[in-house]
Formats: sequence, C-alpha cells, structure tokens
Amino acid sequence: MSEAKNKTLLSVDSLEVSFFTYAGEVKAVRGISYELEEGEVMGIVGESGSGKSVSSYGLMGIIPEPGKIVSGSIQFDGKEITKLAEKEMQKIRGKDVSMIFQDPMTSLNPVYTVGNQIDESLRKHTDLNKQQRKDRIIELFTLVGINQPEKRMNQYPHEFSGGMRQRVMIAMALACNPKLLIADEPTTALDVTIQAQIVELMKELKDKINMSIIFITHDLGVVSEICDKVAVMYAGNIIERGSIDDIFYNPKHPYTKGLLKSVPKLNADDHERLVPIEGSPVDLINPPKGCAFAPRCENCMKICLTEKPPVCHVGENHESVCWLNVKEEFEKESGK
Amino acid sequence: MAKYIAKRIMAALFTIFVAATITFFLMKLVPGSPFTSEKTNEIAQAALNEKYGLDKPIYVQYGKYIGQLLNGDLGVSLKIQKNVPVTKIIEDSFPISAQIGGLSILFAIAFGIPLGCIAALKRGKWQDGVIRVFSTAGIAIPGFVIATTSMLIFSINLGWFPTYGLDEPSSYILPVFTLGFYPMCYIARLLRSSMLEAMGQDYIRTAKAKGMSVFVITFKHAMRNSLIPVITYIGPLVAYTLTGAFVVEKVFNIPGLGRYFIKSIENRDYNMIMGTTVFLATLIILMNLLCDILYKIVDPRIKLTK
Repeated sequence: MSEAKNKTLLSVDSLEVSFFTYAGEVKAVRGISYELEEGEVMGIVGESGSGKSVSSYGLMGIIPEPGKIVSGSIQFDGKEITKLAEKEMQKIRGKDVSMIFQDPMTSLNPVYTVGNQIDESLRKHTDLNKQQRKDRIIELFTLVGINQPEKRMNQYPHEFSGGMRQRVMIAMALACNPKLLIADEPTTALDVTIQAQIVELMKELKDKINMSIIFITHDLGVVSEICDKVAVMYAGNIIERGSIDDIFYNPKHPYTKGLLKSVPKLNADDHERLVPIEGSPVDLINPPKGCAFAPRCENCMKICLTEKPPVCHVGENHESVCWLNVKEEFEKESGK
Repeated sequence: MAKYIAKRIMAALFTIFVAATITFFLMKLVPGSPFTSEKTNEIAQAALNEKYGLDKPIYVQYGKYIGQLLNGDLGVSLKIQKNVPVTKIIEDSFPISAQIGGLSILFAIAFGIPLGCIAALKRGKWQDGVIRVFSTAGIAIPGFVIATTSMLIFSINLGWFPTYGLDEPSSYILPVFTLGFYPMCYIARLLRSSMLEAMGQDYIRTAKAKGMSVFVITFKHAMRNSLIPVITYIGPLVAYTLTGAFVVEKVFNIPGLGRYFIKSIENRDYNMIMGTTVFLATLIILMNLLCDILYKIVDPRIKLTK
C-alpha cells in the first residue's frame, strides 16, 4: 500500500474519446475521471470494449486512427498533456509514462534484436553513452529475471518464449525509470503458469521501484493481488471505483456484483454453476439515454432507462454510479 | 551458409539443364529452319543442314548440344550474325543491356521506394491519391507508348535528348526512364500496401509508446518489415532487365541483347535461341539465390536450411 498522503501524479477529468468511423462516431470513452497518486497502483477492470485500453492510450497520446480525444483533461505531473504537441508528447512517452502491451508475441519488432529495441529508448531519452546503455540493459534484464543478459540482449524476439518476451517488454518499459507504468492486460495472452510468474514479477517490481501503475485487466484475481484501488468500467464509463476491499467485499454497483459472481471459486460446491451477466455490451455509436447497463441489469428501474445515474459517494473514496445507490441513500434518510 | 550455397548451386545446375532441355525440344517443334528463307535451292539447303548437323535425328542433335553446353560452348549463330560464336554475341551486347538495365533498376528503386513510403504515410490524403493514380497508370500503359511519347516530347519537341543510340550521357536518360518506369510504379504500389500492413502491427504501437519519432517508426520499424515482397519482386526483375528489353532497344535503337531474344526466334537461329535462354535462366537462378540470402539479412526469422 502507498504511504499516507502522496502527491497526485495523474488526474484525469471527464475524458472523452471517440472513433470517427464510417458508421458514425463510436464513443469509446464517455467522460471518465480519476486520480492517481505517486506510487499507487490502480486497476481498471471491465469487459472487452468497455474502453479500458482506449482510455489508457489516451494518456499516452497514441489512440489509433480514427480515434481522438474529444474533450476532458489529463493532468500528468502538473502538466496538461492533452494540449501538448506531438514532439512534446514523444519526450514524455517511454520516459515518464511507459506501457506494456497485451500480446508480447507481436509487440516486439521481429527484425531487430531485443537489446537494440531497448537501446533505442535509452538513446532517445537519456544521455548515457554506449557502454552505460549496455550496462543499463543488463541491469534491466537482471531485474526482470532474464538469465544470461549479455547473450540474450543480442537475440531476436523469435528466440524468446512468450513469458520471456513479456519480461523484455517490461524491461523496455522500465528502461528510463518512468513515473507511470501502464500495463494493458499484460497477462492475457500468456498461459496460466506464465501469468502467475509475470504477476509475481510485477508485484516485486512495484515494491522495488516506487512508480505508479495503471493495471488494465479483466482478471479480477490479478487485480486483488497487486492493486491498491480499482475502477470498474462499463461502456466507456467508470461505474464504480474504490479501494480493493470496497470493490471485492462491498460492491455497490450491480455490474460489479455481477462480475464478482461470474468468477469461479475454488471452494464451490459440486455442480455449482457460474452466474453470468446476461445480455451483451451496448452499441457505442448510439449509447442508451439512461444508464448504459440498464438493459442487462437485474435491478433495473424505470428511471434507469431515461436518466443518467449520478455519481454517489457510497463510502470514503468509494463511488458508484447507479440509481440504486440514490434510492438506498434516500430510504436511509427517510427511514431516520 | 557455404553448405547452403553449394547445395543451391547444385540445384541451379540441374534447373538450367531442365530449362535447356525443354527449350530445345519446344524449339524443334516449331516448323521451319534457319535456312528456309534463304534464296538457295534445296541442294544448298541440304548442304547447310549437313554442315550444322541439322540433318541428324533430333536426339543426336540434343546430345551433341548438351555435350557442348557442358563445355561452355554455345555454338555459333546460324543466321543473325552468321558463324559468329553465340558467346561472343552475348559478350558484346550484354554489357550494353546491363548498363541500361542496371541504371533503370536503380531509378526504379530510388523513386519507387520513397513514393511507396509517402503514399503509405499519407494514406487517404491527396499525396496518396496522386501517387496511386500515377502508379496505376504507370502499370497500365505499355512500354512502347511511354517510349514513343517521351521521345516525341523530350527529344523531338523539346530537343533535350537524342532520339537514338548511346553516344552521349544524356542519351541514357530516356531509355532508362522508359525501362524503369513500370518497375518503379510496381515497387511503389507493393511497398505502399506492405507498409500499410506493417504500420498496423503491434510493434509499431510499441515503438510509438517508446516515444519514437515518425521518422524512426517509418524507416526503422515499418520499412524493414515491408521489404520482403519488394525483394521478391526485384530479384527476377533484375535478371530480366539486365538481359535487355526488346521494346526499349528497338525504339531507341540500342545494340543490346534484348532484341536477340525475339530475332533469334523469328529466324529459327537455334543456337542463339538456346544461348540466350540458357543465359537468362542462369541469371534468374542467380538472382533468386541472391534474394534468398537477402531475405535472411532483412529478416532474421528466415532460416536458410531446407
């Protein structure tokens, strides 16, 4: 856990990202806000297409075409980065903010040695000379648990296994001591044992290096292992956020509850079935007027279909965006 | 590597043998002989046939030719330059063709690659549109149209370049342009599509996330991955272009090797047909080998053992 009150490193306010396709404007991220302190680890969970990856590409300024940040602000280290020119962003990318991607098999350039690909970043962002850069790469490889670093750095990506490539990606991301690391589903494409190793490595690194991490995943187990706090995204919105304990033991939003119910348990009875969330994600070209989750929600009320729910503070640093929370609040007060 | 090349050369020799065999029999299937058009009587023709061994059964002729070929002897020309050794004709005309061909390949690469890059980088913008229309037109327009049109405009109307021969440096410009135009357009289109494919790959996103500039991303990360199709195309192209181009040599009156391919067939000049074919086959096989080695250099994943 992070130390008492730290400095705010990142503050995202009402960020909106859209993709302007032939079919229309796809509103992938529809106004999300959150803050991240130095050294804090935040998890972003949600199903495919909920906007978790896109929102983090927004932080890096690498939203793929035809996507664009429509509105909102991103304050990083006291700087508004949505307004920065491309050249300025290039100085931040890979140096202050870096990223690990989902598929290590395709995220490294197959025709250059891994050493070359890390060196490239060091050359751009630091003043180290050739020997120092080489030493740094060896140091990084040792840090992420790659044996024989001196030999391995001159090998090509195809000579590495999936897990090893993800270690290379992590080493690459850590090369310039970033203040913020965005891990975009770093374990999704790996098999379970390798997943465990990578999560273990990330946990170790988190303690060794005091940097903030945004951990994007749909694996709740991973979140509970390394994150301090969690934001749950659905259809481009953060629908609930709070500490690990809030989200896992006291979820307030029906979607979060649904997510937790759909995780298999080791101590389940025989033949106990998983409870899925019925229905499918909404169409983001024409998002519903009211709550985006309403069509799939067990507790859907009339108002949910017509009005957007407000952000409810359901606890200290625990927010949920749901009319049910408003109703509960109201009932509590009128019951008094 | 040395073992691989040795193996490939053995295979190449066999391929040349097969190519020579097929050509020999196909050639003999075509009616006529080198001497039919000559204003001689049947007795003289029979004498000529006997002199050059054309009166023997076909398998004897074949055996004799292959025997010669193994000794590096391509025989003498029967008609085009009577009694001049085919090797001598190739020796004289190939360097001229190779010069024009080599320059036009350099031209095609030097302009085709940047054009393809620009089109890919400016996808959907006007630059891309212009390059696409231009390069599609370049592929569609036949060489003789380009040759004669450019000659009309630049040599006759503007008087910038000579219309024929290779007497001065400026006379190289039009033939080289004409010959290199099609491959240039082809390379531009090929590179555009493979660059676009590469630009969509995950490792490009990784490079962006590292803060690399557009220049590094394009020329270091995307380019090298897009070169394989271009190399595949350039290999055989080099062989064909170096051995001369009939149209360009004809229009600009250049004494290259290209015209002998057509002329030798027209005249049933058997030894010339065989000589030029074996020469072209050898060059193509060599270029393919070179390409395979280049693949390995460009893409370390490719293994040269098979």
